[in-house]
Amino acid sequence: MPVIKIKKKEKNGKIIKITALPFAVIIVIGAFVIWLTDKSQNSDLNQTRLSAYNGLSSLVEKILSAPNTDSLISLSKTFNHDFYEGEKIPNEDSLILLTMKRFKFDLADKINGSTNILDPKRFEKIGHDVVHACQLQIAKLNNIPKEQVKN
Amino acid sequence: MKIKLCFLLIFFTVTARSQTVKDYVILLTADLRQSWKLDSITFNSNYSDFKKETVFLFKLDNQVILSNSHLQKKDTLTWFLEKKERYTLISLGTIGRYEIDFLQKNDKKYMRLRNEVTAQKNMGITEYFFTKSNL
Repeated sequence: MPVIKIKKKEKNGKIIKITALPFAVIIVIGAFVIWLTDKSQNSDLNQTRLSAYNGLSSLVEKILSAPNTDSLISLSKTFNHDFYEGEKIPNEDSLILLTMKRFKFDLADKINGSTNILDPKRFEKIGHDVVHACQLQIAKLNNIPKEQVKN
Repeated sequence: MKIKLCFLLIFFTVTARSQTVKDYVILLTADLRQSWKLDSITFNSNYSDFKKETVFLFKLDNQVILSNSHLQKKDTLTWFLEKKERYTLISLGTIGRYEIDFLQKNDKKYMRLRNEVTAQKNMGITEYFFTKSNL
């Protein structure tokens, strides 16, 4: 009788090992697929953010070098529609959102012909702040130390 | 020598900073007292801290007297300026803190106070435009 019991136990052990192996393989493959999907989604998200930061900084540079009020008005519409009112810049980018908001106010002053008496160059300074904030985020996404970002 | 240079640098930095605040004080008080009348309000939010045509008499001793001809009422508050890197804040007693700017358009000078700009997307900002008054 004991011999039969031992043989039965061995058989059960073999069955468990045979059935557990495919499960383990499936779990490993599943985890790998999830990791790959997650990585690809993160990469897409980073690409979208990089494109938004590049778009914003080049638009602000265009605004800063706008030759006349008409082109300033046209570019400010794009700025308001695409970036200020849009969702391209995520809420966690508070530095960019803050400088962007300040830039919007100074842009409005520039368009309506108001000069800041004590800081006539503030519009340009805040514009450069937006560009710099974008460059910092781009560097962060590309794993470049922020010390290497030019002011 | 290096320590002396450091002290000189700190001195000039502090002097330059205080001169900037001083520029605001000169325009705000005309170096003694200056009245500013609330001429217009741009509502980008649903509230206003002040009524139109309220006159603010800013005095060099950091006192500001608010008067409104309709209400026959005067309030005295203290004002205080604080320079930030890109803007300057003015505190008006317990009412609040506002960003202050002196602007010029078509040879007309005016003062603007507005709620401090924050990163919050949906937060409305009310702007108050003042012109010099002789009251």
